[in-house]
Amino acid sequence: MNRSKIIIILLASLLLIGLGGLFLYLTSFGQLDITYKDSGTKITLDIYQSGKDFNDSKPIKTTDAPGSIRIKKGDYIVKSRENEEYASQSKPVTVGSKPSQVSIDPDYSSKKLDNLLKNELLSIKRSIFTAYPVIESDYSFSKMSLLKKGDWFSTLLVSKKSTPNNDTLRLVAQKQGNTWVIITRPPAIVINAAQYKSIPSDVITNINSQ
Amino acid sequence: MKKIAIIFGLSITFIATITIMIWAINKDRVRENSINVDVVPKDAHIVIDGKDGKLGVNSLSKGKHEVLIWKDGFVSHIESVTLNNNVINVYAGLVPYTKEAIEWSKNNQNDYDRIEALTSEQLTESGEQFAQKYPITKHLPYKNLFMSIDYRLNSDSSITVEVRADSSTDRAYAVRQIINWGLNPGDYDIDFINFKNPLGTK
Repeated sequence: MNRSKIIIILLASLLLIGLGGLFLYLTSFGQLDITYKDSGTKITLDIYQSGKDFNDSKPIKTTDAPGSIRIKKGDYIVKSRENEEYASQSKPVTVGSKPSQVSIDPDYSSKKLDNLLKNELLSIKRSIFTAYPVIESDYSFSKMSLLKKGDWFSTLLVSKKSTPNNDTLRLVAQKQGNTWVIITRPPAIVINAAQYKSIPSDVITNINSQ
Repeated sequence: MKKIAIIFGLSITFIATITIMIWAINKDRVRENSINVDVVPKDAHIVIDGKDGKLGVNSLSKGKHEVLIWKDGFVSHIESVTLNNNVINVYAGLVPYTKEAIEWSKNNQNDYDRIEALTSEQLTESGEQFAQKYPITKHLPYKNLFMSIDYRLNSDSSITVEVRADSSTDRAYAVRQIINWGLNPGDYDIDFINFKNPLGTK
């Protein structure tokens, strides 16, 4: 075999390997569609590689607006930055061959929720006392919190009595329209997630751990 | 000869490239749904959803399937399985009832022992899956001077955690104990025996 033919074979092989490599490189990227549940949300998003500590690693991408981005296939954490209005939110997402979607819907910040609670407290208590009049006389409120976007409320009801069943009970209410509705009927020692599927899991975890 | 060498070299490179491409495209695909059947006697008939099945892996669609294994002289084995992007093993050691079948099973006891070992292994896995689904069961029963925590199995295979304590302090202590195990009490249906909720019942 003469030299020119060997060179042709080598070049052809390199070309094919190069094409294969190019194909692998191009297919190593996927599309990530970021949407905001509330279109008026103004937050900054950082995208981190999954499995790395946020504090030790820099985000691989930062964006201030929803939209589509191309990113290497893999597992990521999309983290919204906390600001005056919104709490931080982290969402895992896997970017694969098909476009992946992540919907960002951060809760209100604790500062904003505390301010909202001051305005809502009277209305919440009125609903509770209407549903359970005995609470006004026999229980005191503790660890009252507004959660999510100010539409969920949880509290501990601490018994003032010294009877055998004077357990601290947990109550969760939801704002439906302009009315606060007691969801945990009756308030209980532990709120069971399977029993109250409409209550967000973080609201249940929060009140049960108080 | 030289031309053959050139074509051969190019073909190898081409095949390698195509293989890499196919691998890259398929690596994200989900696992197939299949039922893996092993049975004694080996020549028993395997019927899945009314159609002939086979020993080993039977690729099927996602969802519920009916497996029937039968052979004259042996008690048939019927099992319903639900596939959800997984592989389910169906092991059956058919029980003989005719004289010939009983004789055959005596002479092939090793095969029955092998199926029994596979079934036992599968049951251990099921127990592990149960503990994974309800991690609190690994800690139960739990008892101290003031309270006890145990669980009962419901008819739908779910569990209800039972807390027995005489005072509100001890019931609160039981809930704290569950949290201390690193578990979320809200994940469980908890029945506080001896507790009467002053605000009513669910």
